[in-house]
Amino acid sequence: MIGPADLQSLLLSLKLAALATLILLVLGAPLAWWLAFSRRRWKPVVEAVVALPLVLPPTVLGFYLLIAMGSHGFLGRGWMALTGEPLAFTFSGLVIASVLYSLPFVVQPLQGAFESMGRPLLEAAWTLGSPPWKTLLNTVLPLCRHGFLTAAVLSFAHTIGEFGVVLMVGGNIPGETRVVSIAIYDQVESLAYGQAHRLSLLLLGFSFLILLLVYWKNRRGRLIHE
Amino acid sequence: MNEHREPPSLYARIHLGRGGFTLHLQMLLKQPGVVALYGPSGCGKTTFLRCLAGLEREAEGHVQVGSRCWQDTARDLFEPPHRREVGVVFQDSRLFPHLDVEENLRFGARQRNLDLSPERFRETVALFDLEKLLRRRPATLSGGEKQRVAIARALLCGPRLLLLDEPLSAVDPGRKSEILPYLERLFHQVMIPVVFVSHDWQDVLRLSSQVYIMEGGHLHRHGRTLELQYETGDYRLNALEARVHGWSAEDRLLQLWIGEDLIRVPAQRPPEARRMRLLVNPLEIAVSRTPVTHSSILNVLRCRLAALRPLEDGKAALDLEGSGWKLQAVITQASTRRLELEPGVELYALIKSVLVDHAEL
Repeated sequence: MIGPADLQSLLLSLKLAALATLILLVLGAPLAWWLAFSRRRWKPVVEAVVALPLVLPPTVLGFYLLIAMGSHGFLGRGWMALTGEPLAFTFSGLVIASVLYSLPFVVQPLQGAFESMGRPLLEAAWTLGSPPWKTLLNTVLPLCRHGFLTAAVLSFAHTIGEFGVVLMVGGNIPGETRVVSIAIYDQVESLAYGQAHRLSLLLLGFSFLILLLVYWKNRRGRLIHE
Repeated sequence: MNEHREPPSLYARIHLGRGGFTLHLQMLLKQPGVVALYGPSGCGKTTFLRCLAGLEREAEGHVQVGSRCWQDTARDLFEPPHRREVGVVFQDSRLFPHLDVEENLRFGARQRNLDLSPERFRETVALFDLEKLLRRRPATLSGGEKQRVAIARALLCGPRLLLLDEPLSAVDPGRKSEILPYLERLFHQVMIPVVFVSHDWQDVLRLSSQVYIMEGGHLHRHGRTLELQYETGDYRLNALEARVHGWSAEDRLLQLWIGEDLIRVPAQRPPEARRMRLLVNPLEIAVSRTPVTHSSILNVLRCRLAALRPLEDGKAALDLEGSGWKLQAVITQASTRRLELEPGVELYALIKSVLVDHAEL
C-alpha cells in the first residue's frame, strides 16, 4: 500500500517530531515556569514573542529562518563554526525551525498548568522540608502531569503537520527534509491522487487519535483536580 | 545576670517594606509556649508569620529558634524555608491534592529523612481523630477535617517552631468545635514555641498565654494574655489564673484560689495541673448589692465596682475588682440603674459557670 518513498517520508516526520518535542520540553518548561511566576513588567513582550508562531504565516517565519540559517545568517554561520556543516536545507535546520514553530504549543499548556497549581502548594512543600529541585519531582510533576502530556502531544502532532516552514527552510530532499506533508504536496502536484489519499487519510486518523487521547486524559484529570 | 543563660525559645526581629506598607515587629519568647498575634486584617500578622517561615525573601532582620539561627541579615544569613525545620499551618490548609491523607501526613518526615516511629504517627493521628480519614483524598474532606490534617502534617515533620495562620477560619463560626478542642489539646502538650495568628479575641483568650496586638504593621501592645484581656474593649470572655487548692471526691468539686478567694468548680477527676486557667463568660456573672446566701450559685465573691461602661446594645460592662482578681461582667443597663451602680460601690459577684482550661501554666 505504502511505497518505500512514502515510508521514508513518514519515518522522517516521526523522527523530526520526536526530536523537536524532546528539545521543546526541556527548553519550554523553564520558560513556561518563568512566564507563570515572574512579575517582570516586560513579561507580556516575551509572551507575545512565544505566541507569534500561532498567528504568523508559516511562510513568513520560514522566510526569516531561511535568511538566518543561510551561510551569511547568524544561525547558519554559528552552526558552520560549530559543526562545519551548513544549516539550511538540512535535517538539523528542520529541527531548529520546528522547535520555534511549535514553541507556543508547549509553553502555553505548561504555563497554564503551572499557574493553576500556583505558589501555595509549592510553599507548603518547602516548609515541609522539600528543597525546590525536589519539589519539582514530588509536587510539580504529579500536579502538572496533564499539562506536560498536553504539551508533548500537541507539539508532536503540530510538528508532524507543519508544511510552510519546512518548505521554506528544508526544501524537498528525500531522506533529509522530505517530510510527509511535503510528500503529499508533491503527489498532488503530480496528480497522483491515490497516493495522496492514502497518506492524507493516515495523517487525518493520526491527528484525530492524538487529540482524542489529550481530551480523554484531561477529562479524567479534571475530576481529580476539583 | 550571673545565672546560666539558656537561648530564648524564639527571638525574631523582622523588618519588611513593601509598597507603602512597613512591617516592623520584634518577638521574644523565653520559654516554649503559645503566642497569639492579634490584629485587624491587613495589619501584617500573616506576613510576619511568613517571614518566620522564610517565605518572604525580602524580609530583613533576625530569626532565632533555640540555638539555631535561621536568619541574620547583618551576617547575610538567610535559610530557605526547607532548611528551617518549621511547621506551618496555612489558613487554606494546602494539602496536596494528588496524595491521600496518610501520604500528606508522611510527606514532611520523608523530605527531612526523619525516622517517624509508628507510635508517634499513631499518637498524632489519634490526637486529631484522623484514623478513619487516612485513605481519603483531600478533595473529599470538610474544611475542619482538612485543617486537622494540615496541623497533624505540620507536627509530623518534626518542627522546632509551629506557625498557624488563622487556624480556625477554615470553618464557619458555628463549627469551630471541629478544630478548637484539638488545638487546645495540642497546645497543652507541645514542647516547642507556637505562634498563631488570629483576629478573634475570644480565640486568643482561649488558646494563648502571650499576645502581641498589632496595628498597621507595628506592635500596639504586648503582654500576658491574662493581663491584656481588657485592653481591646471586648467583653466576651474572662480568663483568670487559678491555683489548685484541692479536690473533693465526695462533692466532685475542684477548689481553686483566685487571688485570695477560694472558688469551687465541678470536676469529675482530681486535677493534674497545679495552676490552671479559668474562662468565665461575662454574661454568666450576676451582681448583687447584698450577700446572697440561699441560692444554688456556688461562687459568690465580694468585690468592688472599679468602672462601668455602657455598651451599644442596652447592656453595660462592669469591671469588678476582688482581692487579687479582676473580672468583667455584662449586665443590662436597666439593672445598673435599678441597683444604682456607680464606681466604688461594694458588690457581690455571682459566678454562674466557670470553664476550666486544664493547661498547666
